[in-house]
Amino acid sequence: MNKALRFRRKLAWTWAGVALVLLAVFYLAVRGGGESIALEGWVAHTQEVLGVIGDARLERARLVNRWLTNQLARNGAGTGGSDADSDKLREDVARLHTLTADNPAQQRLIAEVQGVFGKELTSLDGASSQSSAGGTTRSANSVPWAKTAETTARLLALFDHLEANERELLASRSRAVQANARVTRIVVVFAGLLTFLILGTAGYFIQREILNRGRIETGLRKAQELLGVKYEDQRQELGHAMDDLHGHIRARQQAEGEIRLLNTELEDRVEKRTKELQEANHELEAFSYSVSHDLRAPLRHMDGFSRILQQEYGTQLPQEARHYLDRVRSATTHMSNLVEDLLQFSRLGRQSPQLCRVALRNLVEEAQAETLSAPGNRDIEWRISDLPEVEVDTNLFRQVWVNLLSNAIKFSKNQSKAVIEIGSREEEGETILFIRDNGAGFDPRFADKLFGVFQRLHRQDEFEGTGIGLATVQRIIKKHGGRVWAESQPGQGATFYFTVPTAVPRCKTHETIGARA
Amino acid sequence: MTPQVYEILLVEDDPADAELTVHALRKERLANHIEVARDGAEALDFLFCRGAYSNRSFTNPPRVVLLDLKLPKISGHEVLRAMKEDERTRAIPVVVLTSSNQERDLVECYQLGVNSYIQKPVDLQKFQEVVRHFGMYWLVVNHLPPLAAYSGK
Repeated sequence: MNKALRFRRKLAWTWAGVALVLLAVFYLAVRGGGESIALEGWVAHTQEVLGVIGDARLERARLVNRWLTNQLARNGAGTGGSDADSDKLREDVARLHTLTADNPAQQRLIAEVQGVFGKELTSLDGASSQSSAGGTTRSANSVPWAKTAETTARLLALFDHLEANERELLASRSRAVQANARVTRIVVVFAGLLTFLILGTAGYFIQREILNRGRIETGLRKAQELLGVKYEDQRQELGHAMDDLHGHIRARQQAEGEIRLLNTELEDRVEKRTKELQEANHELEAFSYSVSHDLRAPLRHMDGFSRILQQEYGTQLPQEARHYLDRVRSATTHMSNLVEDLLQFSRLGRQSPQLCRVALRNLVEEAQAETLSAPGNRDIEWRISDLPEVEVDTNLFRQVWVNLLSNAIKFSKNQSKAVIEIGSREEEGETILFIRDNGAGFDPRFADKLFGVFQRLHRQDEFEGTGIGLATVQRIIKKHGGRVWAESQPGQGATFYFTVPTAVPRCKTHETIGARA
Repeated sequence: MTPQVYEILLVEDDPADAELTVHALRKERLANHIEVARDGAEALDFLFCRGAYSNRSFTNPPRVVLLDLKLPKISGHEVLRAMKEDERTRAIPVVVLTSSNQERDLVECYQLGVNSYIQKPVDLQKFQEVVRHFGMYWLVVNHLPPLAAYSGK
């Protein structure tokens, strides 16, 4: 870019130089021509002057010649100043005077000629008037020939002088013309040479520029070709990459399609399973309804009729018969409890907890009231520390406390004074609650069996029970997202722990598969 | 001849249950006349005075109906619905006496307009106590509307 600008500037300077030289040459030629014309005018003027001088010489000769002729004829009358030749001569001299007005040396000579010639004519006129007044006197003979010859010689010398002056002038003017022509020629030649030089230089630079440009153009073309090749290469590479990409995309689409298909299948399967589960659940519900209604009726009958027997015919029965009647009735009660607990446990599976904020203390007190209302609960020392507020299902959690409290009471029945302690502590975002008794405790080797349905760690004749209570507790705690565990040593009481997540969303329903539609 | 006055209609398909209930009621000397229907159809025949009971009159209703829910032919729910939908039987108090403590049953019965819902206790002593309580309430304490309430007009 910069180079191109420089070149353009250079070119402009070159053109400006050429134009200047040509202008100078033109000016010089015009001036030289003008000078030549002027000089040639002067040459012609000089030649005219020379012509007039020649004429004047001829006039003088003719005048002298006639004078001599008249003299010979003694006719002095014709020598007067009014002679046509002398007039002509006078005219020529006057013309010479006019022509050489620019040359003072010539003017002086001409004035001398006029003076000499005028004196001669005056003397000639005086001589002729004397001869006419005296008649034919010899006065006419008095024309001094010697004087005329002298005058003539003088005039001729003057004319020679004049002519010599003019010729010198002519020579000098011719020399000037020649010098002028020479200068003009030199100028023209010099200008031509200069023009050639400038044009040559310019041509050289232009040529060089053209060559440069050609080289650059060739380079550019080569670069373009190279680029073209590279572009083609890259295009092909890109094409391959695109093909690969399309391949990947196709593969991915295929994979996605397969995944979709699998998902659909999975959804179908899940739907089917869900349906099956729902059906199973309905069956279970029907079963539990059936158990609740049909299984309990015969129990009630057994209990009812055996009791009527005891009440109305007891006194008539032997001791042994009354004992067997007692066995029938206690078996009936146990089975009734089993059925009741089992029903409650199965119902838990279908319920979803309704979470609400509640003070644990209230729930514990309600559970206390419920368990203490049962017969046979004796003096118990309660140690209940501050309990937090939690978000749980109130009914389910009351059930938890009822089960745990009745367990604690039951297993500490053999202590002279039962001590039941309830407390809580916060740990890593959850609340840990515990209930401790000073009762029979259990062998920690069997701790994992503690929460299983129908699992018991004590014989029925030691502590009666259905083996469902703790399973129910575990189920409720798990439904709340908590854990439950127990620590104990035989004879040293037992501690049951369970957790409640502290940050439980408010009044949110935990969905369960068995939730009733 | 004055028509037989029934204090209680007991709808119970299980003879053992029926016997225990009648025994408890008799023991408390609450009712002399107890009619026992063995299924829902028989109960409806009695209540709507048709079939074997066509000689009965709507103006001689039982003072209270003790209704079991799980019945052959027509369920206790259907009997309850039929009674509460008909103006002639709507005023008769109905006490559901069942071994079911299913929430669903409770909700349905109350929505149908049951007057009381009692779950039969397994323990006979408790059962007798319960029978005494509701017998005393419905047959002695409770006031019934005049017979015009059963006319359906």
